[in-house]
Order: sequence, then structure tokens, then C-alpha cells
Amino acid sequence: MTYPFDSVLVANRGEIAARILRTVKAKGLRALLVAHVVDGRTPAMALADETMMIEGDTPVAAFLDGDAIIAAARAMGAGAIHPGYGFLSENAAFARAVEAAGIVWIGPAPETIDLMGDKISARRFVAERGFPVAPSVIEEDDPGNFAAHARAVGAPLLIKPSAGGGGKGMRIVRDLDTLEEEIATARSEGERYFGDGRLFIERYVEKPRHIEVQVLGDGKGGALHLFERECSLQRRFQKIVEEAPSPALDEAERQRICEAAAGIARACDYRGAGTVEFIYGGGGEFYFLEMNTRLQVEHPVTEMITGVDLVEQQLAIAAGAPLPVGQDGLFREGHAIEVRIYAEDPAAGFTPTTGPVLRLVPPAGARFDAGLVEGERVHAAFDPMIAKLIVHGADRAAALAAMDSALARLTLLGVTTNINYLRRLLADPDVAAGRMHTGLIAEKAGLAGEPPPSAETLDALCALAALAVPDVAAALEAVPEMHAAMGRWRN
Amino acid sequence: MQGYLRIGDMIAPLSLSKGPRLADGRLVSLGADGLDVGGDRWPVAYARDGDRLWVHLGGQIHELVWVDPVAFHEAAGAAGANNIVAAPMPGLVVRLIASEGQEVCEGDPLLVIESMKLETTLRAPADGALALQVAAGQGFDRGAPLATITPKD
Repeated sequence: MTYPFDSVLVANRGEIAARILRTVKAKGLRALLVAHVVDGRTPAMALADETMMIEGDTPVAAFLDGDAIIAAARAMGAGAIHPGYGFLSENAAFARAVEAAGIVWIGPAPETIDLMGDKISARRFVAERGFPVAPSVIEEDDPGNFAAHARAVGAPLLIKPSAGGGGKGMRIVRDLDTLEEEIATARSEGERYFGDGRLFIERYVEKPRHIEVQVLGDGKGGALHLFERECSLQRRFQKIVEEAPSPALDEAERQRICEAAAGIARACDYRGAGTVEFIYGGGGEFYFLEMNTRLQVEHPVTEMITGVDLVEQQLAIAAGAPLPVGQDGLFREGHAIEVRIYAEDPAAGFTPTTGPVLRLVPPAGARFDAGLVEGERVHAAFDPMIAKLIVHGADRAAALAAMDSALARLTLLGVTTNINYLRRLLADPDVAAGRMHTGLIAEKAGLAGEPPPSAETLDALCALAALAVPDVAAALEAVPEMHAAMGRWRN
Repeated sequence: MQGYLRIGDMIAPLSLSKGPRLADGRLVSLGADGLDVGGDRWPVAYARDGDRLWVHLGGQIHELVWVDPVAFHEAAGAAGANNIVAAPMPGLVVRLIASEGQEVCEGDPLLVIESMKLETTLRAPADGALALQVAAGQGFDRGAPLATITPKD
């Protein structure tokens, strides 16, 4: 493979910057990076051949400053820019500016981002081409009768901000008497989060599952699917566990949903790696939800079951190469699971936490994509996701067992994380049996609390505290009497 | 020397002497190959951060907080413990509503903080005079004291 560029700048941070740079280097390309001082030393900086520091009013603003990033790219002589996920990855104006600067944009055409990035234009495009979308009402079509049209669709309803993402501003309406009130709340949240109060309303699927399909397009109407992922385990509408394949689908359903996704990618002349997201109902019905015109956080589970390096494919497509195989040249094997390690306290409503990373030792035998190293700090400046742990097994049960073992062996000390919680969640009988939906985590709120340790564990912890803390050990030496009474625990 | 350990909601008194032994007489020791409790070996990783001891043991991560006996009894006896407005999560002060030295009533809004794009109004936990420990625009970690209310005598 020869590339029309000799270097790739990653306009991102954290685990995804490191993951992309690994493939960039493996392909013999120069690895370039922008970084913010607040992140300290990172795995991505250790991989990069050259790093330029960027600044902004806030650390996040630095990564949203397209002009500054393009200036950095020019200064470093970058031949291409990979945006990762989040930040500017789905910003069509940035994609245009990159191309105007004579730099290769590793992503879909800016017009595709415009079309598929707006939820309303995307669902209209998809529906017009005969792909399934949930019964819905778009406010702009007839603003005066928005609520009346919504009533005609019938409860339950889901109100969504047009410009939304990440579940922010979404409202479920089961009682149509509260419809107007909920519309007003959703609008003010949309204005606050996205500066855009436009709404749409669709039929809410009860106990929905989130199933999405990875696609690769050549930008000329050719597209492949790389099978589905299920991401139904979510807290606050954010995924925390993803797997492939979905335990919900039989072979015929898999074929239908994956073919629909590839069809959508072909219809919009999709270029590069993208994801078509669907809502899947208990009766086997599925509806188009949205398309993400970028690499997803959870792409590694697809890599694990197909053996395809998705970043390598992104680079090849950006270089103008044809798709490497036909659909019948793609196979899947076994089962893969990813969990997202968050700096957060599940027992306190999954609120973000901060602190020093005193020890970080990844478990052997699992893929660990991390955004930080031992000795650095988790701060509140960015998203609290700090790493991803990915395993593969011959089947789902084997993958679940491998993940439980990997989580049990992952040492991450100094900041409260969701590691213990993830073990409890994956051991839940419904999760283990594949009976999942996007509300499962909220329903099983009892799993969030840290159960008290066993008496045996308490004894061990007490003994360790006594032995490991120098002040305590010193006090111990000063006490003449040999009676260690490590007393009874109480609440 | 007696102290206390806090794990989550639990508090354990911890009395120590040489040996060392657990209350039931089992000998304990810590070496390169882990923790030994009466002959049972536990692989362990740990790290200390001030009064906190982080422990990876038995497939779980534990956060232990050493509670000094003086501090423990002070906190237990202090009526003023709930007069501190502590940060419920790490974040940023968006704006101050009440001002330094102002007499506030329980429930009055004091300041607005932001964390993960969510704005939260923090309110006075009691009646009294307000002392602010933060300024608008300032960042803080979880648990940081943001304001203190001094009740009138």
C-alpha cells in the first residue's frame, strides 16, 4: 500500500489518539499529534514522532479550535488529519477547511457529514430510500400542529432535540397530558446544550435494544458491512458495554439489519468507516436511529471478530484504494466484548471522579486501550472515560468469563472507577443470558452500590492497612503489648 | 495506638500492637509475594495517597480511608459537620449567587457549579453567615469545601 501522504496528524487525545497512532506507525507513516498541557504525559505522546501543544479557553476548546489544529498540521507538514471520535470528527466545516488547506481528510465527504450528521435530514434521507424509521413527527414540517401530530402517533413517545447527541435533552412521554410540558422542557434543554431548540418526536420502543452496524464505503457507492455490535448496556444514554455479535439476532435478522446498513451507506456514497445505529424492539422490528460518520469508541469489538484493522482501512480508503474484499470475503469468528473504564462513582449516580493514577497494570491476555499512564492524574477537563478493555472468546459465555477475569486482574489505583461495578453488571443473570435493553442499568440500580466486603476480605484489608502504612507500622513498633485487636466492623 | 478505617459506609476500629496478629490470633505478614493472613496468601497491589490506601485484592479494588482517632471523635461530636458545602462532584464554579459574609437561611441558593455540562445549584445547609472558599471560574475536585456556614450563637 502506498499513500499519497507521508504523515497523519491525530486531532484528538486519550485512548483513541494512541490507538490511531499505533496503526499509523505500523503503516510506516509519520505519527503527528496535538496535545493539551493538562493531559501531562500520555500514551499517544509516547507513540508520536512529533507533538505540538495546543491551547484554548478550556482544554476542550483547544481540541475544538479547527484553525489552530490546521495551523499545527501545516507547521508539522501533516499530509492527512484523522479526527478520531468526538471533538471535530463530525464537523463538516472542519472537514472542508482541512481539504481546502490541501490536507487529506480521513473521513467521509463534508456533504455526507452535513447530510447524515443532522438527525432530521438523515432520517428523511433514509426513509425516502425505503429503509425503516420509527413513526415520527418533525416539528419544522408543521410547527403549529407539532403536538397534535405527535398525539396522532400515540404514546409512548420520545422527544429528541434535532441537534442532539449523547442522550441529552431526550424525554419519554407515556402520558399524553404532559406532552406540552415535556416539549417545553426538551426545547429549553436543547437550547442549553446545543444552542438549538428544534425538536422531533418519534414512537418510543419499550425496552429497546441498541444494535449498530459497522460499514466501510469507498465514496463511490460501494459499501460493505462488518456485522453488528450490540450496545444496550447504557447509563444516562451512554454505552458502557459493547459486544459483537448481538445475542438478540438470529442469522436471518442479522442479514436483514446488516444489509440495511450497507444499503444506507451505498445510498449516501459513504466514504471510509461509519456506523449505522438502529433501535431493535422485542418483536424483531428495527428502526434507523442515526449514522455516526466517524470511527466509534467501540470499534475494537468488530476488529476482534473480523480480524480487520478499521484504522488501516480508513487510511487506505483516504488514500483512494478500493475496498479490500467483497462482502463474501468478510467473516466473523467468536464473540468479543468491550467495557469502558470510567473515572466515576457508580454508587453516587455515576458522577465523575478525579484523582492521581498511582498504579496502573493492565491484565495479561486482554486488549487494553488506555488514555493515560501511571503517575498522571484524572482531571475533570475531559470526558471521564479513561480506558477500554476488550476480550475475545470462542462464544459469548467464554467472552464473558474472559472479561470477568480481565476486570478482576486490572489494577487501577488512586481514583474511583467503575471496574468493580462492571464485574457485578456482567455477572447479572439477565446480562449473562443476553436479556438486555437500554434501560437495564437504570432498572437494576441496586447493582450500583458497592456491597460490603466479606468478613474474610475485611480481615485481609485490616491486616494490610496495619502492615502497609508506615505511620501505622511505626506506631505498632512503639507499642510494647502484643495484642492486636482489629475490632469489629460496623456501619 | 487506636485508629479507624473507613471502607465505603463502614467504619472499623483498628487497634494495633506488635506481632502482628488479628484479634482471633492469626499472624499476618506482608511480603513480595503478597499478604499472608494466618497462612492464606492474598496477591495484593496497593498504593497510598495521604490518608487513603488503595488496595487491589481478591479481584476487587478497595479504597480505605485512615481516620485519625482525634478526628473521628471530633467529627462524631461536632454539630457543625453539616455546615460545610462540599463539592458533590469535580467541576467548575459557574457563578456565585450569595456573597461573602452574607447572612443566609437554610435552602438559600449559594452558588452554581458545572460538571459534565450539567449545572447544579448548591444551597445553604443551615442558617448563618456565609464564608466562600471558591471564586467564580475556579475548578475543584470532589469533596472540596466550597462554602462554610457559621451559625449565629
